[in-house]
Amino acid sequence: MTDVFGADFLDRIDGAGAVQNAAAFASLRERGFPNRRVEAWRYTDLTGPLGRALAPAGLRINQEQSGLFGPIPAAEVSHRSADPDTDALSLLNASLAGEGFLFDVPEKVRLKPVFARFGPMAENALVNANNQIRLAPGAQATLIERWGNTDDSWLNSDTNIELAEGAHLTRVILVEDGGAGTQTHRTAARLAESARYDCLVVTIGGGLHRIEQHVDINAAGAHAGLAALVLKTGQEHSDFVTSVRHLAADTTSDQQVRTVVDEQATAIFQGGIHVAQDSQRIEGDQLSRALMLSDRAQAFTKPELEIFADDVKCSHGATVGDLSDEALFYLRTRGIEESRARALLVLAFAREPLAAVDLPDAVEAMLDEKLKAWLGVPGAFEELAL
Amino acid sequence: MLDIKGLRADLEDGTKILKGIDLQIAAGEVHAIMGPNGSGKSTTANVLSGKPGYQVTGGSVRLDGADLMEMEPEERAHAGLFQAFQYPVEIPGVQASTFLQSAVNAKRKAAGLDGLDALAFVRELRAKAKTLGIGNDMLKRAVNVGFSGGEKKRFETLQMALLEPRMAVLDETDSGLDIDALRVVADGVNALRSKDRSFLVITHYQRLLEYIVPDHVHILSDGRIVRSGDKSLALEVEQSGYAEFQAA
Ligand SMILES: Nc1ncnc2c1ncn2[C@@H]1O[C@H](COP(=O)(O)OP(=O)(O)O)[C@@H](O)[C@H]1O
Ligand SMILES: [Mg+2]
Repeated sequence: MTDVFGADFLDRIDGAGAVQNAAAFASLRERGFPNRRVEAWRYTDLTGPLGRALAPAGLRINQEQSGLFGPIPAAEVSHRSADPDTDALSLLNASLAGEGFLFDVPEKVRLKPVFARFGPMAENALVNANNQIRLAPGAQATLIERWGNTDDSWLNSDTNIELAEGAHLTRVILVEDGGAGTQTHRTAARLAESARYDCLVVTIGGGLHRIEQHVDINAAGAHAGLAALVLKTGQEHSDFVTSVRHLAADTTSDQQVRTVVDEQATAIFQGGIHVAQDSQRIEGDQLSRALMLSDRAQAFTKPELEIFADDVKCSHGATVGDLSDEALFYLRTRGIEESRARALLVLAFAREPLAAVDLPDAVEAMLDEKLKAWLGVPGAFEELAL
Repeated sequence: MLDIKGLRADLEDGTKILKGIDLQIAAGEVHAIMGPNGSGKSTTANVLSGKPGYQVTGGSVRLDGADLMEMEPEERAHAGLFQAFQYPVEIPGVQASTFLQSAVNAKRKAAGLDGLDALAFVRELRAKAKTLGIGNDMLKRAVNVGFSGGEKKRFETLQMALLEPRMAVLDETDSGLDIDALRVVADGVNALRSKDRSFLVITHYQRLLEYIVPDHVHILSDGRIVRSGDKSLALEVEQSGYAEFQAA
């Protein structure tokens, strides 16, 4: 029992007296954390964060006023599953989380975008968040989440999403780290008839980021659009995982992932599309493109297509490349210095997932600025009003 | 203004392409280079601009006395060189107008001037685009993406008009143009002719030279200038073909 992966880490947590859900914790103790022999964790090693002396601590939530968005009531948190099949990080979350947010949008309500920021309250913190998003039939909402971490902390969250008939959620998850912190965020979404889930994940910086999106498309007419922009440099590591399950006929999904890796960074995209037997007339697209700005950077794409129906149009493509020398030269002959020419080309590439999701202008502008700051050209290349 | 002496250039695999080119272009002059396909016309333009993939093995190129071959491509642009490409590159995701503003302001910055603000730039852009028949919708598109052959050439000409180079090298600016488009582009070029701006017009056909009338014409064959003359040389070549030069 003591030789499971992460046993020491769990001992320290137990010692801190922070466990809220003993059943979940016992289950986690028994199985430990996934090591790299587990297929889904082949590229990502939790040794770093598990080796840190982290103290369970609270979640800071800053949000604009909204009656429908707020801290989650304890009753909604405590009933988390301690099912042994649950992901180890979800068990960790279930063991410790007393907090998170609840976003509950009533029938046919159309909301203005809600902006919320999340972060640790302390240094060296292990922060768990357990979130619920529920859109009643015909509701439409846009949620902009910004998860910011400190150098040595670990932010770990689970978000459950229920979209009822005809509900439409547009969501941005901006995962930022100034330092070498760890962030692991999982989403499990369930889509009813004609529901639509559009989500853009942007991950910048950080020691280790692993973002997972699991979407069950449960009824006809529903659509999942997953887009991601991954910007990594230095020793940073990102693992973006999707699993879109078409569990009903006449459903569609689209996944657009763009990765930019520089220096010695590593980025992985594990993209799953599953089409169940009898789920006919499915369209599922997936395109992953990675841009390598350094010879020592690494980008991996692992598409997983499991298709058990016949009338299915699924496509997936993956490219890894560097900047076009021809384009770079063309820009330079126009007097644009090399570093700016490079920035302009990377910017064009990195903007693609932003265009894949219909975002409010202010959000797009905010993300655009993040991108430019990352590229070292803040405020540059403004689009002209013609 | 432009002084090319004994310019030799190889491909990276060692293939010799330019085998000693001598060419002097004075301020305000228009020179034309004609020659068969594969004779090294584009290579000449590319080597002047500093395109990677070529090895300059001999000779010198000076623009207003400054050694071009020692400069980065962007420095050559700042020094006043401009190349209108035979095959302009498509750059997805980079809006044409944003690109143009970046280019203009990069050049201004290199000259120690402040960048133009959006308003001032748009005013100038609109005026110059209009004379070339370039509308807003084209300027909102990505650079060269989905442009027709004629649109690409007009867009190259617009860049030249905005960047106001000292020395413009036009590589087959006529290729792929119908007669109306050719006129628009030629008018654009002619409007820029001035006593302190020079042009090197590269073309396979003499048709363009009816619209952009050169002071001197050179025939390039197998990496060398084999004959030079006035504009009547272009007509002569049109009638007799390049065969006699290739045989030489
Ligand atoms: N980058 C290059 N890579 C390989 N071959 C090249 C390259 N540039 C030029 N060449 C070769 O050099 C010769 C001259 O080409 P080019 O200068 O394009 O001729 P022109 O413009 O006169 O038609 C041709 O044989 C062409 O195939
Ligand atoms: Mg050519």
